[in-house]
Amino acid sequence: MGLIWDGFTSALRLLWSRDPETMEIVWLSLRVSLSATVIALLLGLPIGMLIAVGRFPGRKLLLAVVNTGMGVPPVVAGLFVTMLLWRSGPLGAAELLYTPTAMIIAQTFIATPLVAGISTAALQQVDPEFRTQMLGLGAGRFRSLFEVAREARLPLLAAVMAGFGGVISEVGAAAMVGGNIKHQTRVLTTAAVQQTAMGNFGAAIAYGLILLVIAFLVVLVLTLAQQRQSLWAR
Amino acid sequence: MTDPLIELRDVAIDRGGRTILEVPHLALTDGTVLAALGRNGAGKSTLLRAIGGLIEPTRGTIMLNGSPSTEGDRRRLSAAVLQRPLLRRGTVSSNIEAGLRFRKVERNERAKQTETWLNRLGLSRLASQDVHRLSGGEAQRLSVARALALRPRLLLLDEPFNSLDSPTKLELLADLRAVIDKERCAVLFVTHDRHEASLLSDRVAILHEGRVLQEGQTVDVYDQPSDTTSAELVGYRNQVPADQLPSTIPRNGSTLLIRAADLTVGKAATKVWTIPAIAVRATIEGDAPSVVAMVGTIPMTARLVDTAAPLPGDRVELLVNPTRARWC
Repeated sequence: MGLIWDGFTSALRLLWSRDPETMEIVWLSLRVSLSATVIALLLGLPIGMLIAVGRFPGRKLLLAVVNTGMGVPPVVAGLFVTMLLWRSGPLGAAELLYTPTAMIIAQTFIATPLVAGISTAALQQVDPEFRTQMLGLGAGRFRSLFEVAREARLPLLAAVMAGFGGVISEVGAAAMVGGNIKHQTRVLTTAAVQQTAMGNFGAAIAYGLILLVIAFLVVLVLTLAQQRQSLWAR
Repeated sequence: MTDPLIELRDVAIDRGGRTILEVPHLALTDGTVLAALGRNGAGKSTLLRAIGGLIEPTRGTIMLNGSPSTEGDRRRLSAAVLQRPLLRRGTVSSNIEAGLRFRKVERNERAKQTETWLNRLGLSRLASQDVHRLSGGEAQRLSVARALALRPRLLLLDEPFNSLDSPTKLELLADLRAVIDKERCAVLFVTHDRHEASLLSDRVAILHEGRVLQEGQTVDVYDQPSDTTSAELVGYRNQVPADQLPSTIPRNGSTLLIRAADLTVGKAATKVWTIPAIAVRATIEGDAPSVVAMVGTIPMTARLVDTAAPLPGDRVELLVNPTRARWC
């Protein structure tokens, strides 16, 4: 019990003192995960729209690939990106392995299927005739798709949150492609694993607490959006 | 002679390996309401969507003011109201404004037009109300207002009054006809309801299994349908093949067509044809007490005039006013 209590008190001390190393880790974590989420949104939303609205051969196959991608373990994504960026790999010349960019790429691989899969489900909830009606009122093809997305904006927000939640909390890929290098690629999850292994429970708990706070903020934003939506729909 | 606004030339649409619409020729002119009347699956909505540029015909040409047109050309000049009121999330006025925004109408003009159309369709008191709180009639009224606010040259209505109760429907139809008369736009009105079609349209095209069976002035088509399917769609429920009629009735075609209101049992005011039949059951047709009786194997519905309902199995004489009977 003393061990846990000591861990908590030293975690609070660490956070209260705004330890520069901890702050650096927090900002890198946010930068990497937010970047990956934005890229995943830019890739995943059009894929979701294509599957939900499009009618083309191989549509169901693409949906199956996306759904499978939603369940891919981060270490598998990490392994794939590591091989891709390995010195003798296809993109080895770019020398990106063990950089934040490599971490963003790996996390994008993890988040994109999540965003695409949840977006597909969200967009399929909109009446298929809705887009036709918007076209019938003079909306262009792109504008009509935007209108469909607008109708599904709340579940699409959930897709973004799921993507962000998926990458901020994963450790396998971040460690494999980032290498947990101090001042360069150390993020909250890899740092927490390392500190735990070293027996520094105070630092590990501090990182864990920050992860919890970020997760809470994510849920809070989603909940507020939902409440606003339900108030507005009343 | 000026070109019609829209003219279909040998238009066909295929789906799933079969032709679901085939129209050799059909024209829509400015200021005219054309009703496409037919049963479910007749190809009415497909016709509307092809004309409105919402689907591309597999074959043929849709002319616009005498020149071949693209889907985009037709979308630019038309506004469609689909079966369900598919409203955007938001307020009543934001829905009207949305269509104007799609057409890149300037902000001040948008606000002005929105106010005008809220007034004209009686929606002003609901302007800031969320669309989720509208009744079915209000939602459909908004759906129509949203399309009319675009001042389209071609208004496309795809059974927009299906889900409405009769008084609401009649009220909206009357308002709509007044607006159409003022705007002088061309209207394609898709419906399966002959009463709606007769209330709103100047011309009617009868569609059946993807083909136009008959097209003409509404009063003419309703008075003299060209075939038994068209006849049934415009209200000639009683149809008797000539070979099942008594020899006293002079033939003028292969099938005798009589509306239920024009076939009676009881007293006859004028010189009539009589058709012997066997009563099956009493019924109400429209608001009038009526009887269903068999002429051979054909069930007929006749109004009872100054007589009690016959019992099932009774022999009755069905009375036909020859001036109200039609042949095809």
